[in-house]
Formats: sequence, structure tokens, C-alpha cells
Amino acid sequence: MLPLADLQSDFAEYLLAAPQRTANASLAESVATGGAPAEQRLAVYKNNVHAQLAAALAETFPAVERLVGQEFFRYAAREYVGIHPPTRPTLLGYGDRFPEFLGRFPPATTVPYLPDVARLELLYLEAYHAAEADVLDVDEFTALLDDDDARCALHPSARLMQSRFPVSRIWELNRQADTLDGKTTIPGEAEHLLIIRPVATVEVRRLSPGTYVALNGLVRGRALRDALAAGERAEPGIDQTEHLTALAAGGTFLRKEK
Amino acid sequence: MQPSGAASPPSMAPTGLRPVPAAAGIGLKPTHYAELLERRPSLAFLEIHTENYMGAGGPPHRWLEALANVYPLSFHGVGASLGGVDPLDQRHLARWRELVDRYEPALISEHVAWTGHAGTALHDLLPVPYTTEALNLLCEHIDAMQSALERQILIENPSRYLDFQQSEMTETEFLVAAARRTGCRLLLDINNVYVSACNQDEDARSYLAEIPGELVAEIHLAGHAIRTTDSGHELRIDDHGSRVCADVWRLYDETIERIGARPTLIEWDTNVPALDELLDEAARADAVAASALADSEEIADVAIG
Repeated sequence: MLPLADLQSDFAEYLLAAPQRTANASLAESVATGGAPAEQRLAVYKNNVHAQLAAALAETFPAVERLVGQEFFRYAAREYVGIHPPTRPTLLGYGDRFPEFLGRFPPATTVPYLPDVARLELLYLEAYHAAEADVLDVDEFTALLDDDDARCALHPSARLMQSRFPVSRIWELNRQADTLDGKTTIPGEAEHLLIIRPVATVEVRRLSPGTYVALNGLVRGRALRDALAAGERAEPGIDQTEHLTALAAGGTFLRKEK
Repeated sequence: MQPSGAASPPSMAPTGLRPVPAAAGIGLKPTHYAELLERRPSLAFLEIHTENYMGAGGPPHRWLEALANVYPLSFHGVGASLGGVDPLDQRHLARWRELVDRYEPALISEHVAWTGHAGTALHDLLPVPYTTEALNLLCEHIDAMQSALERQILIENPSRYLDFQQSEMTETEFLVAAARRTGCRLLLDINNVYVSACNQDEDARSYLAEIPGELVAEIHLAGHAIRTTDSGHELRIDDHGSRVCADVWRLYDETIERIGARPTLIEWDTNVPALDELLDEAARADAVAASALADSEEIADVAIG
């Protein structure tokens, strides 16, 4: 009879194997006889594992599920779990490689914006669970503008994203169960986004390209003045100070602990 | 906490600041956060899956903090893998500890199960064979978790879809031995007892009779589903997706009559209903317990008289 370590190792391998793969002989023989056969009993656990993980992915990526349909989503989830099974005891954050997986998943290539929608959903969830922190108010932010060397970090929930698709509009239309289906054409173009939860609600803010460059500079630790200049170079004629001040009013920049 | 080998379990200490009344509570679901906080219905406690609160911040913690001011909390873990051959995940225990320090839950529990192997987390409560080897390992892991949290934990009996040929003892012998050796106590899930008994063609009543009442610190009640396999056999699936069934209510009644009232959770994790339906199940648990206690007092009176 299988010792404990081998029993768990064979069982784990069985659970993650393809749906049609049956248990190996030593695992099947470890199951006590009587009533339902061993294979049917083991299958309950296999179904539970995959139902649970597919449900967790669907909870993180509801718009992706809406876009591709439940059946396709379950199929993609099954494939994903086989390649990238969870490694942590909490399911929070599981699916961090799902956007990248969808980008390389041949059946999904007919929906070219799908990986970007998945990426937005992942960043949304990251922002949702990110640490709490205080933000600068407009006066505090404005005071920094007078200081040549001032640096200014973003709130810990802040995530920047760019896409060559109108990803936030596609996402908005597909978040709710009763809106349009994935076939609807959405007018729009490339987007630059800030995903952030300054207080209790996650916001997806559309940025101008120059503002995106300026915020990206701040994330990389550049001085505020340099980040603003880089933003203005990327989008000549637009006053990035005004844009960043407006963002400060909505709660964007981290207030450093005194 | 007592070291392994202690003959009898310690009393229910140290608990959180707010002790749990021996009455019904419900599982806390995000869909009910706002309504619970606004209505504040009378409930003995709220129970969470600890792993769902392992994010750094955000709405889950904002809600939990607000609700912790109203209700005692029970932290129920699903991912520690106490029955696994892998060593316990120290980062996981450290996160557990942070949450325990922050919220001071009145009850802390985990499962007699393994949930991962060789670095892969399977996120299902997988069965252990009832062997001396598995018992030693489980006790080692319970000790480690109790030490990491500096708190007594409860361990829950699993719902089983199979038994192993390897088993050398019964499930009740296994659970009771683990509790006696580590000083932990039991979370008796009566729906799991019933589901497992049906699936193995065993008797739920004799199982319950083998559990010493003083070891039981909490009870779980839930609904389950019935599936027919391809082979035409019936298997009961512990899906926590419906009301508690009549047989389980009867077993609950008999258990309370025997051991007295305990904090009792209504568990409902899939197809989560409206809050009122959960409150209704909780009220029923309180009513069943009250009538069971009245019956046990009558029996005591007759015995004295």
C-alpha cells in the first residue's frame, strides 16, 4: 500500500491531470471498496478542484468571461490551471498570468483585445486589495511644485496601464451581466489608464498620453519637475501641471508619513 | 496552549476579547456586508474564511473592521494543509498571525485535510488516511499552528467521498487522539458527518456518540447536494449551497441534547441566498437548540425525581 507521501503525490498528480486521465493503479487500489467505484469517488475531488479554481478565475475576470462565454471560459480556465496551478494558500491574486496566457492561447486570438481586458481586471483587483494610505490634498501637492527636487509617489493602490484598444470602454460594457455581448463594435482608440483606490472605491481613470508619461516618471522615482517635463514633451502644448493637480484633487499621490 | 501529550484539553482560553455565545451565527459574505451593518440583526457571531482577508487593505478589511465592532468573529481557515506531508507555509502562518492580532477572533479553526502538495495549492479539502503516521503529522502541524498564533485552534471533521485502505483507526479515534494530544478542540460539522456516513454506508448516530462533548467547541450546519454517479450510485456532495436537511437537523437536536449548546454556524457558500434566508436558518438552529436543552433538562429532572 502507498505510504502517505506517495499517496498525496499520486493524488495531487491525478487532480491536476487532464479531465479524461484516470487514477493510476496504486491510487485507485488505495480507495476502500464498496458502493460507488473508486474512480467515481476520486472524480468528485477532481471536479471540486477544477470547479473551485474556475470559479475563482471567473470572479477575477468577469468581463473576460462575458466576452468569451461561460463554456469557452471554463475550457480556458482548465488549460490555465494545468499550466499555472495555484502556489499560494489564498486564492487572492490567483490568475496573475492569465492575461499573458490568453495572449498565447490560440483559440482566443480572434479576440485581440482579450488579454488587455484581462490585464485591466487583474489590476482592478490588485488595487481593490492594496494597502491603505493617506493621499496629498491639492494644497499639499501644489506646494511641491515650488520645490525643484520634490519627488512624489503614487498611492500604493495605483496601477498604470496602456492599451492599443479602448480597453476600459470594452470592460465597462462587459462588467455587468445584462449589457452588450462581445460582438458589439466599440468606437475608440488606444487608451492610457490609471487604476487606483484612493479610499474605498476602485476608479479607472482615462489619462492623456502625456499625463501617463508624467505619472510613469513619478512611479520610476523621477523628480516631479522632470516627470512633468517628460509629460509635456510627449504631448506638446498640454499643461501637465493642470492635469496632475486635477488628479491630486481626486486623491492620487501618497502623503509621506512625517 | 498545552504541549502534545497532555491528557485533557485546556479550557477555552485564551479567546478574543469578546466571547462567543453558545448560539447561532452565519458565514459572512460580501453581498451581505452593507445590510448586516445597517440592520445589525441579532447573531452570536460571524465567521469568515481567513484566506479571503489576506489582502493588504481595501474594502474587505474596512467592512470586517466595522462588523468586528458589532459581532464576535470566528476565523475559519481553508488553506493551512494541516494533514499535508509538506511543511506548513510559514508566510501563510505569519499572515494568519497578523489577522489574529488585528481582529482578535473569538474562535479559530482549520480542517483535518491536506490542500496542497509539493508547492502546488489545490484549494480543496483532500482526505487523509487514518494512520499513526498521518496522526503524528497532523499533531505536529496543529502544534505549529497553535504556537504560531499563540491560540488554541479547533479542527473540523471532513466530508468524505472515499475511505482509504491504509486507515488503521476510525475517523473519530483519529480526531479525538489529535485533540487530546495537542490540546486543540473540535469543530463538529454535523452535515459533514452525515454526508460522509451516507457516502460510506456508515451510521452518523454512532459516529456522533463517539465524540466526547467536552472536546466540541463549535458546530457547523450546512446543506448538501445529492448526485448520481455514472455507475448509478448516489453520492452526497458537501456544496454548502442549500438549506440544512431534515436528517441533519435531527442529528443536531440529538447532539445538543447530549452535549449542551455550542456556537453553531450556518454555512452557505454557493448560491448565497438573501440575508433573511440565512437569518431564518440561524433562528431555526437557535429554536432547535432551545428545545433540545429543554428536553435534556426534563430528562435530568426525571432522573433526579
